[in-house]
Amino acid sequence: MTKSDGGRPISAATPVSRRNLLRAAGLGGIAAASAPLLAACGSSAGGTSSGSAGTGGASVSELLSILGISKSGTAGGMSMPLGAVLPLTGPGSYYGTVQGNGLKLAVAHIRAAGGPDFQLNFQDNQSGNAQAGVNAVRQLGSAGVQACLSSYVGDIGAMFPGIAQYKMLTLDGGGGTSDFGQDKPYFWGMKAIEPDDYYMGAVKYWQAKDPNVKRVYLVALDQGRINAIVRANFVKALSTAGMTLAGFEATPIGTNDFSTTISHLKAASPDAVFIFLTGLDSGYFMKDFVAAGLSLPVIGAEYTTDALKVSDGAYNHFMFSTDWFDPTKQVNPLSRYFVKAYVKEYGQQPDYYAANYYEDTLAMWDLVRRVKAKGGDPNNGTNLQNALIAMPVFKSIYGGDSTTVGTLALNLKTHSVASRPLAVCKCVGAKVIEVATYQLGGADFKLI
Amino acid sequence: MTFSSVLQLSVDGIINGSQYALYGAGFALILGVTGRFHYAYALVFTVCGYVVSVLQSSAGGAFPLLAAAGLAAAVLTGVACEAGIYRPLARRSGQLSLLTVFVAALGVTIAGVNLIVLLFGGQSRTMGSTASQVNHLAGVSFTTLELGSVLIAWVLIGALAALLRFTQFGRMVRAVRVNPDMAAIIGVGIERIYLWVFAIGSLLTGAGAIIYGLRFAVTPDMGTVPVVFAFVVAFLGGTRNSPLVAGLAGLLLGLVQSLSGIWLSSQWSALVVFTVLFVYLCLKPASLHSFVARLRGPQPTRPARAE
Repeated sequence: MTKSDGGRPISAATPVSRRNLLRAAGLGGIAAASAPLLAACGSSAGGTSSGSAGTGGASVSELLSILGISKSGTAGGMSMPLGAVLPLTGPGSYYGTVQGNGLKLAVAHIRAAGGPDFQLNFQDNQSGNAQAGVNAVRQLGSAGVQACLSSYVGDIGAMFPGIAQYKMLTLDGGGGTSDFGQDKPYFWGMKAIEPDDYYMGAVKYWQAKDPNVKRVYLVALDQGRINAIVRANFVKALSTAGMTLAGFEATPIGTNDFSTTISHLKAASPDAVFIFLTGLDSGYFMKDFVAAGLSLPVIGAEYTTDALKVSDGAYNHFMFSTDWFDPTKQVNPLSRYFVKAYVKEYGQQPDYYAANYYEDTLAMWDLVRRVKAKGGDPNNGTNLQNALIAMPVFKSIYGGDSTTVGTLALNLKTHSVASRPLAVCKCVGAKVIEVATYQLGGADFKLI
Repeated sequence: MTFSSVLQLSVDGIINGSQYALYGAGFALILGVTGRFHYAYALVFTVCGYVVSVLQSSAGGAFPLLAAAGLAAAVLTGVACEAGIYRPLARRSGQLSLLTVFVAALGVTIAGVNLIVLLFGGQSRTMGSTASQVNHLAGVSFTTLELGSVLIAWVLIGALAALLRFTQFGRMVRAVRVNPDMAAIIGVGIERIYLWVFAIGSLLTGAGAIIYGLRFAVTPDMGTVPVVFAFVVAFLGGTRNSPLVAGLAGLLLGLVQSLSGIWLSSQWSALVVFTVLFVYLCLKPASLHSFVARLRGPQPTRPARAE
């Protein structure tokens, strides 16, 4: 009887030897095992997710002058591993690219300025995959990494136990501490608490510009048990302006079809909508929102050019309230220096994530210098954290003025920023226009 | 929830369900005829999307030509999977070929997607025109693109069903699906049929990918969810039935998923899909038939008519 190739079992099947079975399974295993190798070599347009960057032609003596560092105080002559757990793949890969760009530029500047040679160890958190975060911190810890920059609030908390176990000082300029990452050992948020710190910007804006807004619908990414905290804090923020929650919906990260959410939203008849969605999700939401014929005011907690692309023009109806770095409106010398170098190196304007990771890497360098100045071992997370606690203030790209660099101060209790310039912006095509500025807690709210 | 909301959810369910139908029809054809668990469907899906998107941004040109290139790439990738990976592995694995082919397909998909990331980066890409007209009819809204996607999906499923039903080639495919041994005996080239089935299935996959890229975006992981839906729909519709049955299963799945939004938040939509599959597997038609028979109780036998 003729035999088929085994795709369908046939009456006279070829006996399978153990060797053949192992060989076949091995082929598949090799294919699967090669994937991490390829991922580690991954590169992306506009920057590399691994490897190194140039200095963008920036003058390192200028950097030293801006930061007030003497040539002898750069903590040079040493090599130190620096972990970077970023969303290199998945729906948030945009963040990984721009965060990596800022980080690599800072590492290049530090090296060129005579500082330590930070050996970057990139790990992929796969845009919020908990297991990926656990694996990442384990890899870094096993490799002896004691300093790390993370994202997604330590991969939505998955990294916290490992960070504490390995005593790895971790700065998160991507997600900050959010509600659930505050006061965690060795973990510090380097941006405003997302989304809570952004609520007040939206609330105050509506209060000032649209007093008819009384009932607000909240759409947020699904963070499991954190959802209740997000919702409760939003209700609290609304109550300061006499507003109430019209409804709440949590959507999984990576959602691209918001038809059900929009139907629930329409049924609730709110006056306005606040969305806390990351990656491409907010672009998809706005696309479905506008396609459904809705014209309610929408303010979000994130803005990325990736989401703008997928929104199909719907971002013209979108505003956002967040940390905001406008590369075209440079305030302090460090931010001007950073933007010039970034544009030269990557051929595009930096966004605030690139800015965050640039200044966070400089902050790590600051800690290394402090530890070394006292004769300690900088490649020690506890030493680094002690240096941070002793003086939780760093030079910042944000704030300041034309002659003074801004400062970033950390709250020792919450492990989050103690102050941060925030803004409410609107989108007009590909342009972003600031319409209001404010500080944490909605303080100093000013319409522009 | 108002009637118009329910109507909107129904329309959304039809739109999404039609895409699931397209995914499932192609997957069911491949699985039903060849027995291969073609997880690399996700890779074929992604390759097609990237070919169209990359060609559009680098070379430009009329969209139909770009789509044709994407479909050609999908067909080539699918056929290459069968000829270069599945067939040699299956020959060596015999009765365990389902497992080894699945493992190989999984590995190929992971490696292939990461290669795409290596070459083009992890960021999203758009495809096609940036604006789609929104239409409002009887209180529901849908875009021209969504309407077109429904029509295209069902035209392709219908064409596949007609091909299998009314052509000699279709008879050969069905013969192989039913009994490959007998088909081989009567002179049907099994290996050639498998290649054709992969080509046709990949063509449907590519069409689904282009629609997906136009509706959403082209990303390295764009095939991950469609392959799951393809698998679920293929199981629900049956891999040995007409593509129209698989299509109907996909449509029903889309409607159930969407209408569940009347009671459930969208965060549970994945749960709904797998609950449907779970319930179906527990109450498969054979089980259902015997369950109904037991409910009816013993039926009196009719006496034979006297001649």
